[in-house]
Amino acid sequence: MSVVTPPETDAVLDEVLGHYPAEPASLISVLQDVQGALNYLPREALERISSTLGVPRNQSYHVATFFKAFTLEPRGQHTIKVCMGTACHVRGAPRILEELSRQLEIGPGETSADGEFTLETVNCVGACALGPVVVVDEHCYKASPATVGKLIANAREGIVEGPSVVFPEDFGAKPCACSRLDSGTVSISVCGGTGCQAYGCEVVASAVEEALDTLGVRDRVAFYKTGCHGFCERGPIAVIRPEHVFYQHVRPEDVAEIVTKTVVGGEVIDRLLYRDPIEDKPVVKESEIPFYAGQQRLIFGDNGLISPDRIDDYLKRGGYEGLRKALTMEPEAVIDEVTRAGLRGRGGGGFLTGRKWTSCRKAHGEPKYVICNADEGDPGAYMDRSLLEGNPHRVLEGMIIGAHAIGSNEGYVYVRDEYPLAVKNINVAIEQARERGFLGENILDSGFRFDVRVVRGGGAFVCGESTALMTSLEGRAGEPRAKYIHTVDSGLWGKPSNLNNVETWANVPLIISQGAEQYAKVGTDGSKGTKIFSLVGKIVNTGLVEVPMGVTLRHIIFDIGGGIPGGRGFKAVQTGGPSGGCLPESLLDLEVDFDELTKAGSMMGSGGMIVLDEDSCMVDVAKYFLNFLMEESCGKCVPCREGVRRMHDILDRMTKGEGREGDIELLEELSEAVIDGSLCALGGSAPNPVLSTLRYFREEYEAHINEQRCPAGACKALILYVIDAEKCTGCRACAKKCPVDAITGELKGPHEIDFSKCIKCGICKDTCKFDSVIIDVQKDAGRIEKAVKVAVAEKKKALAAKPKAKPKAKAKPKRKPKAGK
Amino acid sequence: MSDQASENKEIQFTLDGQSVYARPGETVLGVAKRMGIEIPALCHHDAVSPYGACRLCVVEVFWGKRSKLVTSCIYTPWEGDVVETGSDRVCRTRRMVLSLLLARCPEVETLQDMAREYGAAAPFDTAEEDGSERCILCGLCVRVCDEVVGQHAIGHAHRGMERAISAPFADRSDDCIGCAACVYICPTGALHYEDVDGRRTMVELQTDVPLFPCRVCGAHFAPVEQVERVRECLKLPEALAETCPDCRGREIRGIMEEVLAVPRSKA
Repeated sequence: MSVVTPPETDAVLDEVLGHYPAEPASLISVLQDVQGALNYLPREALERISSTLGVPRNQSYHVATFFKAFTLEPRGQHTIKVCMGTACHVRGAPRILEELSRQLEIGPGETSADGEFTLETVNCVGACALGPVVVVDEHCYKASPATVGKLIANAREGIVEGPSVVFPEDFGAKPCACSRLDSGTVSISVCGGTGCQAYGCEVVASAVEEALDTLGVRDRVAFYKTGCHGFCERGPIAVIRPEHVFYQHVRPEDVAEIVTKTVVGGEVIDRLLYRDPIEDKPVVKESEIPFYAGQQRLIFGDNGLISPDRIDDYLKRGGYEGLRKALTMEPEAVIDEVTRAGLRGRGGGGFLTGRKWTSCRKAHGEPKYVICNADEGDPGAYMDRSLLEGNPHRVLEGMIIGAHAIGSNEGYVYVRDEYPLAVKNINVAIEQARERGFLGENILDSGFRFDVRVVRGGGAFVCGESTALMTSLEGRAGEPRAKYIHTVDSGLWGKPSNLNNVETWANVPLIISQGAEQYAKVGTDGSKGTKIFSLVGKIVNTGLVEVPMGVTLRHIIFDIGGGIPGGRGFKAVQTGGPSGGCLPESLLDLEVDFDELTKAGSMMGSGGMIVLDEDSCMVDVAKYFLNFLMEESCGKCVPCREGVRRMHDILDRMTKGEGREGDIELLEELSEAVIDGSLCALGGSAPNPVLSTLRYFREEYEAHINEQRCPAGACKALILYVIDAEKCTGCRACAKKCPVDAITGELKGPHEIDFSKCIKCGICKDTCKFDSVIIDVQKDAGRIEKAVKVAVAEKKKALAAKPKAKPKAKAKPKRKPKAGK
Repeated sequence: MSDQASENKEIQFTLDGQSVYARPGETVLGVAKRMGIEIPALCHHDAVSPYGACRLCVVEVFWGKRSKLVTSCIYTPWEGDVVETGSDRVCRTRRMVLSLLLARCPEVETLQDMAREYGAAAPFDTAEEDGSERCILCGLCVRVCDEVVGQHAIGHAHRGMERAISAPFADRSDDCIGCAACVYICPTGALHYEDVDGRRTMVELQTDVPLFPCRVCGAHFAPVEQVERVRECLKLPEALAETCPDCRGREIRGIMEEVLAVPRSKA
């Protein structure tokens, strides 16, 4: 059948189809490139792709509608994506989405009538430490409901917000004394991780290069634009060595001073140092900052010391030594080493890596495949992203060692398309490894042959499941199958396939180079080594944290994380992503490893650790995860598709004050059936967030059902924003920011919120510096309204009585009264 | 996997207390059928590959004290497995699966009957749904079109709650030949066709194709393209392929009668 396609589409298709082999496995990559070039997949394009690659149209249509990356309708000129990851959710992403939706007058997934904007949600962009974040076209911004208007306006004008390079006029005019540089050990590194990028590190990095050039010292100072340092909260970050001076929140205008004073002069600039919050004094060295001091960065540490796009940096740090050693060993000996090291899979289940490798080596069938799962879908976890971005060679080296051990000559890295920098860096690393003979034919003259291809995921959480990932690699929609036959026996294209995640692979070179015994010294009996956690949510020091297995939650959250900001109380920590659970304060001394977390009703998962404070509603958190899974379920089997949806409906009713007696029991009954009846691990663990919150926070469920009250003051339908007339100073800040003009009151007089107008966006509460906006119970609106009238009248009377009273001493903000009390 | 049924030997295991064997590659569901043990299943059909989506055919497998639910339409037993097809755990899961399906498709009689058998009700709020949904997304229609007919005219679309059965682009399918295999295989009556005035309309797929008139009686009996496909596949003589089943039957009976009219003793 002939298909008429417009010339532009045709040209794009010619180009893209020319890049890939004409086989079904190319489908998803081709669709991604075409979507990228045309901003959508026109029907005629999909038809032509189907016939060229030999994919039936019903299958390509399924793929095109299954993955979130694809659209069959043109997108707007600008795409605004709101990150709905867990870390962003608990820090207010839903409020941002609502405000964007209100201002743009479109719902998520829609395009404005003038074709200018498309509003979308994305399930985690891996910038969790900054959350809540919004991605406008390709740029990631930290956002709040109040900044939404500006984001839209900037996008419309094509302005990319960010700093610019500023140097003093006389910079570099005078020659400087550079004797310090003679040692040859002076270096400056600027973090180029995704978190720092959102803070404008690119500009800082180019400013550093420019400054070094201007001073003529470029060849005497080593400059690294490194991967993620982990302390994303403090970005952009610069570290000057050999002293390891750590500068945080570096702005382009600081660069000239940093280079002249610290790099060249060896002098420390106090203003840019991290300040210890307890002793309130500056800390100079990276290793002395509590956030780093409490960690053991065996896997992640090199991130701050190498430029990910320079293989020589990695080689200098001992890179590929593990591979060199492994190639002198028999494959069985390599597997034995990994087995004795006790390495367990870092991606979720914690299966013993050595055992998996053994099964795959023994499995019949050729070829065998080695796969790196970099489809890090857990909302709130981003360690895999940071490893691939910051130290891609390490992951690659692990894969090559694994391939040698298993007997595989072909590997795949399946990486999320939402991680463009990771895609770029792993591709660069593969090229370099080929050039240096670490990949390809006859690796390091050992006779061993292995090569790796990078495939980008189409945006589906379920593709983190091994069978779904392999189905997707084959060019089909990512649906899992029953695993009665393991993927190590029959995986990709029915061949033995060994899949491990990024962090697992990154552990392998360490095990081989230092030996199993040394490796196994770290960790607990059942869980060896370290684990990287993404410590995010309501926590002072957000970022990536690597600790030995077996340290307590308390150590991670309070010693390293610095506790809860704003003097709020700790409520729970969510671990393991959507398959995990929420652990309460009573379990803070739990020693974190695979088995302890599972025993407590949660799981390790890939290492997301989202801290929740007293403002987080546990029913809402459970609902959040079910909503996530409802969207991300492939929809194939009944318990997962229908069961999760019904569970979500029940929680949704509860958060609207429509909970009923028997709801909790029904949730428990549904949970059992969904766990027992689902086809794959996604469904099999989907009820965990509900079960763990029911186990530890049942009273919150009961308050929602029996009293229509949200104890945390988070469920919108159950709360009211009220101004405490007593505390209100009449500064009008809230009234000016209220997007619906619901706040009235005279300057210096008490203000009130008109409940009938209020959309509960919370901007007033964010804005008020006097803690006078409080959250109360919606159910009591009538009573509260009367009380407010009385309080306002009294305050007015009091103000009238002493018109010229001297200004009150600034009241210390007190803790907000709890909702419902 | 040396002792699994997928290798070339029979596997001995226990099914509902009886010692039985599975042929190489045979699933628990297959063995149960052979033994006359009934296991409910909605997404299974012997003509197409197993899928494991409806979860009604789950059974419980015991290994000592441990046990697990497995999907009997996919699971090939291991030597020594002890399988229960109607344990409490199995029934609880089936009951909830039926409740969920009934909430989705309250009008479907098959589901109503099964729900009655398992004591399933649908204690969910369905006020916002109109109750007319009949498709349980078992995917039989897709598999029969892919694997048996080979037309790939109908497929899955979207994911999660949005998942649906759809022709590509949710539009009239160019690949559909109107054979209606999907209609016959659908266990819940979610797909339909109509033959009117020499044309067949596949209601949900929006296909509209001409029917072939029987060369004997002139009645329209099958879509033109289907007749051609059948003739090609079975290498039938034109006369036979283009004759409707009724007339074909009469013609064959005529031939048979002639054959039978020959005295037996001569044979």
